[in-house]
Amino acid sequence: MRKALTLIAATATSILLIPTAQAKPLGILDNIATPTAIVVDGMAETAWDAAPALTVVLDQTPYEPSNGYPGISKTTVTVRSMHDDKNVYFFLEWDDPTESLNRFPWMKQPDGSWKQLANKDDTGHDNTYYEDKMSMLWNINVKAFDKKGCGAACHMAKGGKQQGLDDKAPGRKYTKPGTTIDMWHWKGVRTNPNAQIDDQFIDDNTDPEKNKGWGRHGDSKTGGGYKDNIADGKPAFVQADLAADATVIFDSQKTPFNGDMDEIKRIPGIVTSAFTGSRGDIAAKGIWKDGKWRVEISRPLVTSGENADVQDVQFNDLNKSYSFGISVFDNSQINHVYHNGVLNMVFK
Amino acid sequence: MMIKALNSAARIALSGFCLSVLMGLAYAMLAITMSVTGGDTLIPSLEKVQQKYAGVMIVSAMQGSMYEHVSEDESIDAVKQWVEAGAPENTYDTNIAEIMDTDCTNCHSVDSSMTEAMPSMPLSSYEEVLAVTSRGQPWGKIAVQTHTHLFAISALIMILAIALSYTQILDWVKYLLISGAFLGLWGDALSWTLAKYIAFVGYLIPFTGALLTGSIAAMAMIVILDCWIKVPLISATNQES
Repeated sequence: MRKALTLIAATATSILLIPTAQAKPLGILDNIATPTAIVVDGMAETAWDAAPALTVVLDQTPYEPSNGYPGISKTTVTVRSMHDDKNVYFFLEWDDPTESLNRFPWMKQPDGSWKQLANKDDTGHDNTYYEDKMSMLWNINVKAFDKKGCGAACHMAKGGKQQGLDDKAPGRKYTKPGTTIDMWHWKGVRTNPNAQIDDQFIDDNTDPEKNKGWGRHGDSKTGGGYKDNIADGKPAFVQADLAADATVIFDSQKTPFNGDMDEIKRIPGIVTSAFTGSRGDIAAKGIWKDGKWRVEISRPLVTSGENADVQDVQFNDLNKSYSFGISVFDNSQINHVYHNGVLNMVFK
Repeated sequence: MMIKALNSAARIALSGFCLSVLMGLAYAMLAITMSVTGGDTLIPSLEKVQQKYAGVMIVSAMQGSMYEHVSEDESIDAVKQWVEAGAPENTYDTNIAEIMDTDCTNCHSVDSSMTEAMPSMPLSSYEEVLAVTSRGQPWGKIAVQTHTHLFAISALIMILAIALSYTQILDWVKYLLISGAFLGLWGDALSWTLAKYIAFVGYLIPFTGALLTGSIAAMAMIVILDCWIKVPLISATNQES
């Protein structure tokens, strides 16, 4: 009996003295090689069946909009990843009961005038007439990102101040001096029709005079992009097919607006064309069906465009772990559901 | 009367109660571990436990439950050194404010709107941070935790002790386990208060906790076994034979 008690005491003591493990990633995404040519169309080829799925619960939000927030406050993202000799691929799925593509549309009023619909909260952001979005942040050289994930770049205003400046936005993105984060921003209206992601990055800028988005920037581009469809308080252009219930106007098909177009009741708020240059590095297509978004993504493992070394994560060492985070925007300009902690991708 | 003499329904009920206690103990250990390691389910080190109960509040939190939000371990060292230096106001802006801004105030500010906002414990100014530089757990938490702990667990021990006293095991084992449970309970509860003043006491908390939980677990297991079989090694009848 005495021996047994001694053994129990010794075991308990040794367990209590075990050093604590360091913070662990929230999840590991295993990226496998694929011999199959992947078509980026938002529909999973059978090759995706072989890719291990990482499931991530997104249940955090940065703020509660003053005019209400009808969007999702929790969802689950499933992400799979593969690569071949040239590209890395992702297939993401998440639950979103509504397909939201009605971004600041122009609506004809009973008196024949046009009004651009908006319902902004007290921070100046919309959660009613907007679009569904998804964001992946990839660490380039921010030390804290490897532990905290996206939280390493998130800075909430305190008392209406950000870095000592008046700021109504609840949060800003910027990094420590000299560091950057790659930001892949899929936008249901502005980039999805062009089968692209808006390739952006976050740097250390905290001067809104230099950049109104603080640390958030678009990658270098040689052309293309999206812009608001407005001129002199009216729509600037209309879609090619006036009868179509379009959510966006393609730049290549735009037609100048004139007030005599009686057959049209609704005009999209955005004119878009595909980015060229580094900002258009990432191909992506999302399809919403049965309460779920499915987005398929392809990007070169290594990019070589202008400033790629600063603005893009480079998957040039397949023995390395890559830190990333995911968030989802439900018809919301800046409110998003995200996860605490960091995710890691490892190549198998 | 021995519990083995009870009818089957009573023994089933007693066994169910003891099994529930054992399950509750397992989850209590999980909860305690997570509160010390910041959500990590691994066993905490002795040092971490001592820090939680006897360390500086803000440092303990940064090492424990808030660890996942701390960008760099160097930040914890900086805050610890600042507090040990007397938390001087003249070095707050240069050494501490940025750490708070980077890792804490997104949630710990009076107007935070984040999901895990803690507006009741803001850390946006020198005075607010100074308020969490005292040693040990806050008095409010100790008062609530200590009295609920004493009331609830002493009742649990009493039930188990009465059941144990009617088992067929050796008397000295009964005395040992019942005394161990109460000593562990008192040691555990009083240590939370004493650790605020005597840092070394923080190291004793895992052992008082182990004495308490170990005694309760042993009593529950013995009672379950004694309901249905002869408990090996420590039954009085073993000695007689």
